[in-house]
Amino acid sequence: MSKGILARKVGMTQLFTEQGTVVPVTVLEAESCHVVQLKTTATDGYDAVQLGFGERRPRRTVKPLLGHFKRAGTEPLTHLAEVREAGSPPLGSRVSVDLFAPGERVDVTGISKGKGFAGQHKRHNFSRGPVTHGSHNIKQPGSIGSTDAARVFRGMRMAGHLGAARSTVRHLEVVRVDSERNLLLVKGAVPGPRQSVLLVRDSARTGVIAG
Amino acid sequence: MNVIDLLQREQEKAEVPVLRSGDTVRVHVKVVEGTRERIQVFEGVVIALHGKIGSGTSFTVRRIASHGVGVERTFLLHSPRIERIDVLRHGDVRRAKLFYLREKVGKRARVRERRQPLGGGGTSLRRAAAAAEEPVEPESAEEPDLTATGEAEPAGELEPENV
Repeated sequence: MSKGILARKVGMTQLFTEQGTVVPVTVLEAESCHVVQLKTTATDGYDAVQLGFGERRPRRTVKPLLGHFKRAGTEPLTHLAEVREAGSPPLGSRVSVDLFAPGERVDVTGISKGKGFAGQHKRHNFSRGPVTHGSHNIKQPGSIGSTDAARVFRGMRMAGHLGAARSTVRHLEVVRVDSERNLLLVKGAVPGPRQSVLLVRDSARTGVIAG
Repeated sequence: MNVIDLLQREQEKAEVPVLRSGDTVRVHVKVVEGTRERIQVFEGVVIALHGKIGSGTSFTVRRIASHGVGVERTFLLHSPRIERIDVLRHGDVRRAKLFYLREKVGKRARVRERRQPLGGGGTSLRRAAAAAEEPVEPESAEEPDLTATGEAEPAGELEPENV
């Protein structure tokens, strides 16, 4: 069985461990995460728990959604996400950060920061050409195909829109769980700007990875 | 106050000496040797303070080890590995970063001692405490009181020069 929670990214800071080393952590806040719907194989074809997060004014919510939240017995919420095979917690109940314990590994999913139209170097980690010796090839992509093909193949890595896409960072360590303030402190960086809403699930990677 | 500030505040030590560039300090660091832990002392001149107030503040200490080799170590001010910091003397320096000391050898690499309190920071009292082999930490709490008395002194000194 898996588990998940919706949380808001507060920002990053660093913590001292007992050994005196410093750990970079991202602070996630999960004040208003509720169970909105329980999906079952019988009715929906699969088992899942739908979670909701973030206050939303009832006047700004469309009526079908109002009914959806009313059935769950929660306030209207801004974000909805599903976690598959997450058991059957009571409908409308609040999901607490206690779900996770320090030392556990989690996957964090969110929308990454938008970078706009980016070149090959930033978007696909291309190398640049020589800067000196009369080079005019500093930020060019290089060859994009052969003359024989007489066309460019699909999926060729080129400049274009970067970021603002769904992204998951896997296998992050939970450093601290603060149930009083509903905080989840996760080691390392997570996708998206501050204030963005993220889905935190227990890690799909079961094998232990060093570090 | 936001959550991040609160988390940082919780990390900070209750009392920490007021350091300035040029100060000669003795840093007591916990070192793990095999299985046991002991205290190692690193004594030298503070050549740089990094970061604003908060748990991430650090400072760099430079000392001349054997054979005249300069050794620099950077410590996190609020690190639990630091047992204690003694301020032995205050230096009279004109800049915040004393990286120029790296190029100086021997007598030129000295930092003149500052005897007058600077800006009424209550420094003279702290120096007296350091001489008495006392930890410097307790004084930082007294500082607000000293500011008032210390400030009056330098102002009085300056007047004759200006006239």
